[in-house]
Amino acid sequence: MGACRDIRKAILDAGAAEGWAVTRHLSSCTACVQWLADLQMAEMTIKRLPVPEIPPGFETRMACAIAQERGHASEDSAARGFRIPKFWIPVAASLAAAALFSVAGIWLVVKEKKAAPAPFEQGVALSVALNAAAPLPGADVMLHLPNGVDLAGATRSTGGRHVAWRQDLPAGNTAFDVGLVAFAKGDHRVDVVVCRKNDCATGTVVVHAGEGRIRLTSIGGTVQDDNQIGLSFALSKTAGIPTKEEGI
Amino acid sequence: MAPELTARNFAELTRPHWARMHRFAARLCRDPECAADLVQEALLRALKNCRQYDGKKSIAPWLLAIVRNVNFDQVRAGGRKREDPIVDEDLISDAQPDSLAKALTTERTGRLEEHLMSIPDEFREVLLLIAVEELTYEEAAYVTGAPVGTVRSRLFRARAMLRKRLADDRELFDRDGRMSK
Ligand SMILES: [Zn+2]
Repeated sequence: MGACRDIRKAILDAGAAEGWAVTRHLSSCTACVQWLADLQMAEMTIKRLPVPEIPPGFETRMACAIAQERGHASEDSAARGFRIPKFWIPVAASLAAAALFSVAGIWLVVKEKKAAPAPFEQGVALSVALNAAAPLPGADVMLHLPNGVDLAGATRSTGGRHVAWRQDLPAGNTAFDVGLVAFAKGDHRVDVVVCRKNDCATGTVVVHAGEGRIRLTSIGGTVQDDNQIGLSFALSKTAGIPTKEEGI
Repeated sequence: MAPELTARNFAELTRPHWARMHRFAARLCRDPECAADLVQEALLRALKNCRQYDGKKSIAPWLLAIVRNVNFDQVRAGGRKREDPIVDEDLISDAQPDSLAKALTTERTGRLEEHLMSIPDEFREVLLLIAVEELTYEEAAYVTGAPVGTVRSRLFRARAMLRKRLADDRELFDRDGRMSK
């Protein structure tokens, strides 16, 4: 075993089974060959381990943090196409008491449509109402625009981006409008995200562009009539996605 | 050649690697809760320093290096130390016959995970980078800031530590080398 120990130590130090003395020993020692094979096998065991689970809302949270860092409505100019309406019909919502705070009710109203010039361009106005159960100072609001959808005024899609800004949300309703343009036919998912520190909630709006009239629908929300959509959710303490979804 | 990394395209170019960053972070920081925070911090640091990314190389090692550095800084700031390598551990004795082959088929992945996490940081990170993340020795050397020769030696020692823990695990195997319940 003395020779075996020396050889094995040499292999560990070098991080390889190389060199004349090592290869010569291995050619005649089955125990060391087995030991070497065991090392390889040990490594293979960890390849079999389940991949650590990504927490719900991870992607959204990261996107939100990045957008936040990029400087709230600076170069992405959230101002383009946004305005805060003076009046919004209040939306009442009661949410889980366990939530640290909550935002309820995203209302989306289709306001207009434009003719589609070649090759393709369809516009739609999105109205969003946020209802906070308690004041949310310094909340980050973000839109994730996929490839094919951009803010009104853009001449072409920039290929997927985030638009974020920070604002204080008082208790009750806060509303804003945003003009969107679809540059490709098909369904495009737009995520609306509200974060405060690490707590985020998201609602998803699908923009259906193409034949006939551009439409908006929501995932998990309620369509009230042809062009109104309600989404409710609570910001979860553990960061992530809606813990609860209710139609309005 | 990869396009230049800017604040504008940062999310788009790094997003394909977020899951991988999270996987590495989860096994680096021992506390499963910390992985998402670690990745977030790493991404923000990467964004601030995006001009430092050399577009000639793959972006994954660059991002993983930042995850590692953020973890290292947090460990240090928290007053914890990366453990010293266990030098007197006997890594070269013979194992239970067949025990490792059985470890490969065991369903008790919780025990395997525990053994992996018990390997000291500087060895575990190399094992993760090469065995799980499938980086080359050179890329692992870049991530850890260690010479390639050191990376190779750490990899072999990490394998030997894991082999020893699996072979010594009496809860995983009974005396005859059969897997216990
Ligand atoms: Zn031998």
